[in-house]
Amino acid sequence: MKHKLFLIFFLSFIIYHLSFPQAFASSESIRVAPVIEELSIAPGKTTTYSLNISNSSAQPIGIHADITNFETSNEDTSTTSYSSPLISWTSVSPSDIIIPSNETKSINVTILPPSEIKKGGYYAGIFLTPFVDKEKVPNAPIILTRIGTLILAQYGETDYANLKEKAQIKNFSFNKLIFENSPFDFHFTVTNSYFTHFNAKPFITVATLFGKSEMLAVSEKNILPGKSKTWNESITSKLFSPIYIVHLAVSVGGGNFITSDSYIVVIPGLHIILIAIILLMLAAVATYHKRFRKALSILLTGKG
Amino acid sequence: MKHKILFYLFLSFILYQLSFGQVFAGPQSTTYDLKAYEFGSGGITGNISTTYSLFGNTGQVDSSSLNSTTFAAQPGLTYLLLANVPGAPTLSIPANNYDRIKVTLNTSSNPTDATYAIQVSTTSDFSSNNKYVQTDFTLGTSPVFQTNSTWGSSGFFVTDLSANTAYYFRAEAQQGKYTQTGFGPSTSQTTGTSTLSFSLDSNSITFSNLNAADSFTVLTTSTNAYSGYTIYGWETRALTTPDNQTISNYGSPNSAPTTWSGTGFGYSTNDTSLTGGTANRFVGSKYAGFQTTSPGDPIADNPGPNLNTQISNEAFTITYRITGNNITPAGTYTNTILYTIVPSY
Repeated sequence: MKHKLFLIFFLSFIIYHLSFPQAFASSESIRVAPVIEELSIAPGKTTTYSLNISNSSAQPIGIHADITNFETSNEDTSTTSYSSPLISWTSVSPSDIIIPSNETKSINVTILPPSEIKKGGYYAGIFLTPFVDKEKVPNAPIILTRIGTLILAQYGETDYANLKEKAQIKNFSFNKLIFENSPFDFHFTVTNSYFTHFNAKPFITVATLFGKSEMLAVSEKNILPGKSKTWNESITSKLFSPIYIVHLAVSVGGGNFITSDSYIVVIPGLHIILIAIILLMLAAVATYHKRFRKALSILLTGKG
Repeated sequence: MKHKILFYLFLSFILYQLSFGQVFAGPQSTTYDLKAYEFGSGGITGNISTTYSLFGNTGQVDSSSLNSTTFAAQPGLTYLLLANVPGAPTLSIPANNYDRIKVTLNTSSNPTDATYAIQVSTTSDFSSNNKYVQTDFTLGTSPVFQTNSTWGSSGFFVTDLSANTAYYFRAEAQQGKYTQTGFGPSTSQTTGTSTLSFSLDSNSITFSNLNAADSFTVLTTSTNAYSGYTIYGWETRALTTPDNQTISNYGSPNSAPTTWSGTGFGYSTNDTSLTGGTANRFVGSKYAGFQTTSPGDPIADNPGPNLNTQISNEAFTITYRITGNNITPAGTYTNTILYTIVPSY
């Protein structure tokens, strides 16, 4: 009996180690703030901020910071990869740091542009890569993580009236013919030819032929200079009309809008059946009712 | 004769009433008649149609004056049609928002047609840097008056604000076109800081056997970034032994993953609404092979927008699968897989 128990215990031990052979495997959890930093810069002047990194893991974590380009997602204008000048103006100190478990440490980010720079938006990313305690000869694939943070620096004040002239709505269109009660699928693109980025905030107003209208919410997007972004959206209006007039107003900030209009023709479902039934009834009455037929004849021909 | 006189008298009275009975009547139309001009008369406050809006007098002089043995006040404007001064608005950052503040106006029981302008400053006494909320809910230089329902009676977000900055808000009201209150009391809210937390359950993959779903990585994210985040995955090389034997990557790309067949090393994600490529393309245990160049392919994301709640501990599981062919030699195959998370902007 004693030998049997020992055997079972030994087998369990072996099975456990076969199932979980990665003794060095560990979890990691990192929190970074700010992850998006928008700031104003000036030629020849130093701008700084702190990147706070918290280690919520059970063990210390080493972090390496490096500065790189970043490209935003959903950009429609293909661009050749370029090196942002902000990378060479930016430094981090320290670039390598060890953070004990459940502690927070800071990396100082310093931006020093040259004394002559052009008015514009300058963009870069700081990537934080945790060090991993790994074996010299690993016996399984290693998993690493990187956390990207964004720097959006701007030199020059935004003149919203001018920005309005440099932003443009393109390709605002719907499926022109839709069935009643179907959602309206539409898309539009906003381009940014201004010197810096802006937040494009669309407002869609759907109006019926009879004057009723409702405003529908669409999420906003940031657009970098020289870039564009496209909205592919679907909305449903509670109003009924055979034709909708759709007004798109995109805010570029400061109460300034760029606008575009479109329309939608709705193929009615239940409504067209009702109208057809009414027309059929009228036709039947006109055909079989003498007095009605006579009245209709007078009305149409003016003769009794 | 007596009856005739009575009849004429009665007729005269009727004619008088018809002709001069409304001697104090004001402007008239076919639909409305201003009966009197006194303060508070002439219509119902806040009663507006598409064709007329009437408030009667917006103020009225009281000809009497207060006096005592030591002072006497001059007559003055004692009755005013004036909206109640709006109370301090309610401010919040429900998703720990860093670039916007949620504002709910305090109408102070004003009628629904009262309009409000909202002043915003970064100084508590509004001594400098004063702006007004515009119709697009950003800040501008001129006051914009709108009804509470147009602003958003359940609250609205004032956007394009700076992170980690205290903003002071106060409102003023108008009743009709002629009178305007002073500013009500102010209140403040400090915007948050953009944050991102990223957790990994393990720094290695456990391949205790080669069955599907036995090997996986759990990636957990929390962030208040308005447009959410995207996680990209790539590997430094194909799975390789110390003596350079390799297991190739699964042939299907991230943009068009397929049900597992054949050989290779691939992954699947349980992010069913992953953006990019075909919608819901990983649904039904579809697999793709990793790229070997940075930044790789999106393997999980949440595009937001995060307005009223932030993304909290959102976990996605990346499942790995390997199938060797008949000539795959036995050995320890390793590589490094990198998961890069970036806030979407």
